[in-house]
Amino acid sequence: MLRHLTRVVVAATLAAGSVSAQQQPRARVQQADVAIYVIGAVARVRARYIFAGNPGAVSFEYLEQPCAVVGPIRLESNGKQVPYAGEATDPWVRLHDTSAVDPTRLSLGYQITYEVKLAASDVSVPIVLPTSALTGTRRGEPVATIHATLMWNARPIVPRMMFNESTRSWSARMAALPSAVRLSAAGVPNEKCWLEPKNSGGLARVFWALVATLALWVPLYMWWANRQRRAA
Amino acid sequence: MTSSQGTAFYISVAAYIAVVCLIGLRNYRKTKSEEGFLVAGRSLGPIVGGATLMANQVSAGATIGMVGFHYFSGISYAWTWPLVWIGWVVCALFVAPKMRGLAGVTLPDYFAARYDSRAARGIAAVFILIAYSVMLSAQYQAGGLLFTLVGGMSYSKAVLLVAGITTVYTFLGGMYSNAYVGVLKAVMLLGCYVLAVPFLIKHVGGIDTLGNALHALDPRLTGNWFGVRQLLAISLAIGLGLACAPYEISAIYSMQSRQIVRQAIGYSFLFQSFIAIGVLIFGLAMRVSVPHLPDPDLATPMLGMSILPFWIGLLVLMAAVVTFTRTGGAILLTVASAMSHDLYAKLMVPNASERAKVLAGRIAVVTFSVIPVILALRQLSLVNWIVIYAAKLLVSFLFVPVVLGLNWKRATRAGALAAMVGGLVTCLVWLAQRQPYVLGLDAAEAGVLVSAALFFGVSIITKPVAEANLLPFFPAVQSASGVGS
Repeated sequence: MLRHLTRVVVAATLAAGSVSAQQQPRARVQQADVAIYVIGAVARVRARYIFAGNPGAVSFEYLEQPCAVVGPIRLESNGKQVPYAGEATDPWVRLHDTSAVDPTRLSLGYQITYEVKLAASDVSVPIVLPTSALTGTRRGEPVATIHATLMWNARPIVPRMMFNESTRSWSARMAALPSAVRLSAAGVPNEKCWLEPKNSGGLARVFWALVATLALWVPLYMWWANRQRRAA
Repeated sequence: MTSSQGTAFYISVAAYIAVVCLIGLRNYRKTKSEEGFLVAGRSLGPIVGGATLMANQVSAGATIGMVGFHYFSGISYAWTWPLVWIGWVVCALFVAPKMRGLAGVTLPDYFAARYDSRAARGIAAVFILIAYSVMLSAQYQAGGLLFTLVGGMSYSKAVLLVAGITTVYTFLGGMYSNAYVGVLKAVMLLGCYVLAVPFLIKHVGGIDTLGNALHALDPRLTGNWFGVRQLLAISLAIGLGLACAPYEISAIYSMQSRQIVRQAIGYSFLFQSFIAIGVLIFGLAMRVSVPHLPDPDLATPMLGMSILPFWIGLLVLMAAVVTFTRTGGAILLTVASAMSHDLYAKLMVPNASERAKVLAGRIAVVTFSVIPVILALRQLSLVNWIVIYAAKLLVSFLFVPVVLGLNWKRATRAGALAAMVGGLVTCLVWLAQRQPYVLGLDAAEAGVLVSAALFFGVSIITKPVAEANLLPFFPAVQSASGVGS
């Protein structure tokens, strides 16, 4: 009886969990290497991505950042430039590879290069990312590498990176890529730049309503509980 | 994570193990009696009691799983906090004062006292053993994932390490250890959210900028990913489940008086408010900062390892470690008490000595730590899904015979048994279906409705329980029978 009940409870939990697991995006990117070189007020970015299996149509995206203007982006595969279509859903910009999909290919590599003009000392360099998740052989295995070669008076803030004395560069290995690398670059002049949020979807309103609900609930309940104690 | 960061993490974990062992050893001599081991000698005040209630509720499902939920579903899930609190108010009004008045040790004690039924005690104890073993596996799974990512050890070794930490301090100090580690957990969680949330809000450019980035990704992230109906169903399962959860009932038994219990619930709300905002901002900020995680459960580990400044990140990781080992300890103690107190001491060997009962409790702690390890190694599902579905089974099984039984004198032994079995079977049948569910009812709602119908229907046609069994719960019976005068 006990064993049977255990089986039923575990089976029900598994069945329920499989629904959520099916909602997760399918991971296809096997390896990612991003290198950033910051010289003066310009960051040069080179990203290499290797897709496992046949990924079908491939898309990339980046998150626009204040005080960081992304220049023309060059997309290459197997040493050849790849045509793409851009699509802006502020603040995200998506790039869709428009070349014909070869149904027989077994893997696919991309190299993406671009420059970012920096206009503040605390600034984030956008990373052009694949729109699908990275996957390792085991859960959470770090398969993405980021290298940053910076001026002597600059350092990365997010993500956390380690300084390598021999190469004079910063690096990090991660299970997924960040949408941007935030830098503190003392030498870059600060300009007034600001990305006005166009449509926040009412997040601030819902957030503060939640905060107010929680903040009101606690004193109201404590008042009631103390009243009960005095009455007792 | 770099090698120096990994070293700092392991040193912190070692320090934590040393602290919890010290807490356990310090309380070891206080746990010579069963009451000392399982309900801390009924000595907890409102703040330690509030931390204990919060620490039981806020499990890996919150610090790992709920951050992952916010990561993939946005803000709407945060409304489950105030909705779940309705369950706590039900507990404060209708459950806690009467339970504390009973002065039992476990939830099945209530079944035996209220319904004068050894069968009800036995069935409740067996159900607790099974359902809480599944819930404990979620804590081990979350812990295993964190240690794998941060420490680089294999998943199986990591699960064993987490199970080891949990088992050792629960074995040594029982409920005393759980209470004081609960305070440590509250301090660490408040510390990490107070420090990390302002950093993350600044990092993503403020709430409006965060909303803009999320809304552009998917409008449901800032709106209603979960509809009102779904939120109510999940909150009903968790909130009403908390009102009758065996580990929360044990915490209630551990407090000094019924007034202290009500105050402790208020302190628990205060702690939970900070945690609610913290896990929300963690999940939303991570969706924008690292938009394509291979698994939403990785959000908290990655935040601690790569996104936050070193010391704040370390605090977040350690708070997560404390969370799943502490909640694991509470669950383990509940499972062990069901075995040692209800099955061994009350049903199998009624004449067992205090020493034998405490020894049985300690053996049960070790034994029932092994089963969830086996489940955790199989990695059932996302952590929060395991917690939610275990909560649905619990509420279907326990809510009606506990909450309604405490407040309706006419409830009978047969009614309670029918409600428990009927609610559980209905919930399992509903969970086995593919959504949408029959009549649009969630599994927990269907389970509770069928359980209530059977409870009332069977109670009315069967013989009432003796007045002596009603005395601890219904003062009116006491005055009418002249016992209290």
